[in-house]
Amino acid sequence: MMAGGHNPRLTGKERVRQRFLHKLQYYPGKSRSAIRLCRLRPLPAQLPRQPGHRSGYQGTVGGEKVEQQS
Amino acid sequence: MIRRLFRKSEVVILKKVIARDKLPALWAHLSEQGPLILPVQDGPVVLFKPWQEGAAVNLDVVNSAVSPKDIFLPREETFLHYRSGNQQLELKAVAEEEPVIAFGLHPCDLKAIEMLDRVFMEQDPPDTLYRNRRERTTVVALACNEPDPFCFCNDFGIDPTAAPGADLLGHLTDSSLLLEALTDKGKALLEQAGELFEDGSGERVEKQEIKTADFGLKLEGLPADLKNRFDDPVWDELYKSCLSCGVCTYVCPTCYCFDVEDFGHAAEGERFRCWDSCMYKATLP
Repeated sequence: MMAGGHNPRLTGKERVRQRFLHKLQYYPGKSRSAIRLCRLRPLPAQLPRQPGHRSGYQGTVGGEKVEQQS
Repeated sequence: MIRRLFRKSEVVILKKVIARDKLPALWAHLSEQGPLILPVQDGPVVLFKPWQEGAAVNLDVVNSAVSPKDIFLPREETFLHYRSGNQQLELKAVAEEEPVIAFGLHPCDLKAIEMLDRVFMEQDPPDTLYRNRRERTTVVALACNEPDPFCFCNDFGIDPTAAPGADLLGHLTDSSLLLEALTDKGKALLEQAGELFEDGSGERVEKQEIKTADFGLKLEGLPADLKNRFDDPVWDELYKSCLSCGVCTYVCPTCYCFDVEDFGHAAEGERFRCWDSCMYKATLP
């Protein structure tokens, strides 16, 4: 879970995969202007998403369960 | 902005030499103007820490235990104080102005900082907190003549004897340290500490081709290859050793996620940012 309370990737498998791919696929593959901080500046919707990308998120905010569909 | 930071001096490269036994005097002199951050032996590990009298500076170590990225992206920093009352809100930015010297970074550290520069300074608008630190920090790099057996910077196209992005490049021997000014900021540092140095204009550094370990990494085509492995079964095994503690992102020189929070109450408080991690867990897998 990110410190702000949202949890974009629920399982360890997703988190580890994201970390590898961010370093070795997403970051090198993006143009410099497309690099975004994950929380503060979400990726624009028009950028192609990876297959299996989780839309929305589930997690807890202030102790309450939250589920959001995008 | 990157170009300006990395622009080399147009004058002849200024070189100065200092004997190793005079280095403590140099540390003391440099720290008078502001924080001097350099590799310090801290128990069994070496960490980049602010210099203090008697600090066990270790310039011979190749890799610090933790990346020096926190010189430019601190683990936590308060950047705003707020106070409210009488239907008014008072905001006061925390301004840091003093010059910083980062001493003893290696070429791999600088490559990582170059990656962070892309994230924080090649944005519109740029991250002013990060940019402010970059601009007021003089970076003194040390060339690696004897990489660690587990170093692999060659595989990533890094020359361990060069330091693009640094203001000064140092070459350490058993008895002395030769410093070459790469930028005007580096030249200014050598000149303001002039009495401690000897002229090094006659010194020549022979270009060496340093080979780091070969672990069989093949980076060519890797991004495209990984794109096809999103559902590869390897992920089902690889994650099992992960404790979701986030430490890998804290020691990683190129991880940069952060969080912004307020601390205080409605009448008074501060806004700070701190490192965050994509590896934290909410539920067990």
